[in-house]
Amino acid sequence: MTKQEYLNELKAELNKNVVADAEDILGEYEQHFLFKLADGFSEEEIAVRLGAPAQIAAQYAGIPGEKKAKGGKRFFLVLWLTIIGIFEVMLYGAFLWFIGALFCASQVPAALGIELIAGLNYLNILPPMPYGGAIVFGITLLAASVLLLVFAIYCFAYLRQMVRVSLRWRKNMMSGEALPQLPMSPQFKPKTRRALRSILLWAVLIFAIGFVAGYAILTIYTHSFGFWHALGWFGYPATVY
Amino acid sequence: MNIQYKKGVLELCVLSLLAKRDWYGYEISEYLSRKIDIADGTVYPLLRKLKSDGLVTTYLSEESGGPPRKYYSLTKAGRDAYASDRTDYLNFAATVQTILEEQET
Repeated sequence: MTKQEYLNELKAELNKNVVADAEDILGEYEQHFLFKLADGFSEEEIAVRLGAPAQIAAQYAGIPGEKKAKGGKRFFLVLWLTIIGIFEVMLYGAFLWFIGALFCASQVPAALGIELIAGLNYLNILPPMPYGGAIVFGITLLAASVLLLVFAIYCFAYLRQMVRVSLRWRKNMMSGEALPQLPMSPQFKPKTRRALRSILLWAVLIFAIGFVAGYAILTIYTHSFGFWHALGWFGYPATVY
Repeated sequence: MNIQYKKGVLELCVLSLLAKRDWYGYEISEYLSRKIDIADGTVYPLLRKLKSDGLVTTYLSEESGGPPRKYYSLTKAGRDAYASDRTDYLNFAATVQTILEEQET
């Protein structure tokens, strides 16, 4: 008897004995075939060793089925899940907008940083400063951009995991058999996680060093801790530049 | 060995395995059919009966490569049932052995 013949016969015998959850039971025997086949047995051998389908089915007779939500109960479950779902979609939507905004926000320091490094002043929005300070602050702003970008990536991974957890939970609520709950924290591949972490660390480091160094350079250049006065930023009259 | 003997103690054997750790169905079937001469397919109905009696619960666990495995785990009621059935069986077996040995001499 091949696997398919065995399972067909078992199905017929289970129906004859009015056994509950016949599909689950058939799934179990199908898995048994798969495990055994992986161990190198032929379908015929496996079928013989399982025992006659009629005998197996007879052993299932009289065992009550597993309790699954049915009829009215099921209707309320679906209704309940739908109501929660509406709120969840609103929450996820808001979170997605926030991530979008975060991504856009990360582009601003990047643009300013490139301008500073390139010595441009498009739209005349950058305050005057010597090029030595500009290049350091430019790099600092690029690091800030990377920080925001990595934060946006983390947020997106978090959102994705939240949706996954929710879908798994729904599936478990609807079916009797529970798959394990998923962790709430985002699941990166080890390689990706390591890469993200080192990018984050470098960005923080460059941002901190750049900020301090930029401040120091401008302080030395203007001989003043409040260099923005001397350089004429924020509407102060310039005394140095 | 008579099939009726085996059927009775098979349940106790399954409970004994599950008292140590959680097993998945195929594992139990493989282990028992190697030790006791039974058809491989006998264990699954037994597990389903234990579950419907409330002695075991099941949970699915995702393994890398392959479908999720259904693990069986003893409930509180299952542990209690195993403890008392085990004592009963051991006493019974000891008595039977004494009687059989008396008969021989």
